[in-house]
Amino acid sequence: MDITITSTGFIMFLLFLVPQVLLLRVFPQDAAVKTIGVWFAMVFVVSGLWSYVTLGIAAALGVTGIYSGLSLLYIIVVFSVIEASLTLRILTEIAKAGDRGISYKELLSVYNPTSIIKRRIERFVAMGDLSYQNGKYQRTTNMTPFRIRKHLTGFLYILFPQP
Amino acid sequence: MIASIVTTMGIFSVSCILHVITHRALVTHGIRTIKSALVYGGGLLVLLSLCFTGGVSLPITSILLYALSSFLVSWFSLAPYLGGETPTSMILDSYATKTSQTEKDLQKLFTERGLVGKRLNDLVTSGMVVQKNTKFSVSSKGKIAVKAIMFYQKVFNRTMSG
Repeated sequence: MDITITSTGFIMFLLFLVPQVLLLRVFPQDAAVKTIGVWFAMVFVVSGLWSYVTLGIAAALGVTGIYSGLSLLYIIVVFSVIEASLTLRILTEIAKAGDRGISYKELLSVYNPTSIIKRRIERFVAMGDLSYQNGKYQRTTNMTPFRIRKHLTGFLYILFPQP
Repeated sequence: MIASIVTTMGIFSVSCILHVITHRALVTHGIRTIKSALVYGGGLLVLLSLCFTGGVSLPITSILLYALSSFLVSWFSLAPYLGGETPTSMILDSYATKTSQTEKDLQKLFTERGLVGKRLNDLVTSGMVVQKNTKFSVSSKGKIAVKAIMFYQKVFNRTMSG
C-alpha cells in the first residue's frame, strides 16, 4: 500500500507536469501560464477522488499530499524562479557575452529598469491583475496567483519578522 | 493507516511551531539566520524513529510528505530574506494608495541600482559571476546554473523573461 500511494502521487504529478510542458510549448504566451492553477486543481480533485474510491481515505490523503507537495515544489521553486527572477536573467545576459565579458553599461543596454517594469506590467495585464484604460493601469479585484503569493508573503513577514 | 498521516502532520505542525518560535527568539536578540529551519531535522529524526519501531504503517509516504512540507515551509520562510522586495510586490503595493497609474508612474518606483546593480553584486558575492576590471563574466559555478536554465527554456519553449 505504501508503495502504491507514493507511486500514485508521482504519477499524478506527471499528469500535472507533462500537459503543462506540452501546452507551454504550443502556446508560449503569458496567458497560457494562467492554466497552471486550474490544471493543478483539476488533477488534485481527480487524484483525491480516484484514490478515495479505490484505496480509501488514508490513501487519498497520502496521494493528494504527495501530489500537492511535488507540484508546489515545481511551481514555486522551479517555474516561478526561472520565469521571473531578475538575478537569473542578469546571469544569462552575462553568459551570452561569453568569456570576453560584459560591462555594467552594456548590460543595462540589453536589460534595464524600463524593460523590467514593462515586462511586469505586460504580465500583470495578461494575468488579470491590472487593466489598461485611457493610458493608465488600474488594479482589478481579481484573485490572481500574484496576489495570492503577495498575501502569503505578507503573512510570512508576520510569522518570520526581520531584526 | 490514517494514523500514519495524522502522526506525520502532527510532527510537522510541532516542527513548524518550533521553527516560528526559534526564529522569533533569535530575532529578538538581533540574530538573522536561516538555521532556525534546522528544527525540521529534529522532527525528521522523530519520524524516522517511529518508522523503524513500527509506529507508522506508511513509512515512505510519511517521510516523503514530511520532507516536502518542511522544504516548502522553509523555502517560504526564506522569501523575506531572498532579494528583499521584488518589483512585482512593489508594483502591487503601490496601488494601496492609488487607483490608477501610468507606466511612467510605475517606472518612478524603481532605481537602476536597486533593480540591476544590487543583484549583480549578489551574483559576484555568491561566486556565480566574476569581475575583471569593468567586465563581468560567468564563473564555472555560474555556468552550471546557466545550463540548467537553458535546459528548462528548451523543454518548455520559453524565452528568458526575468
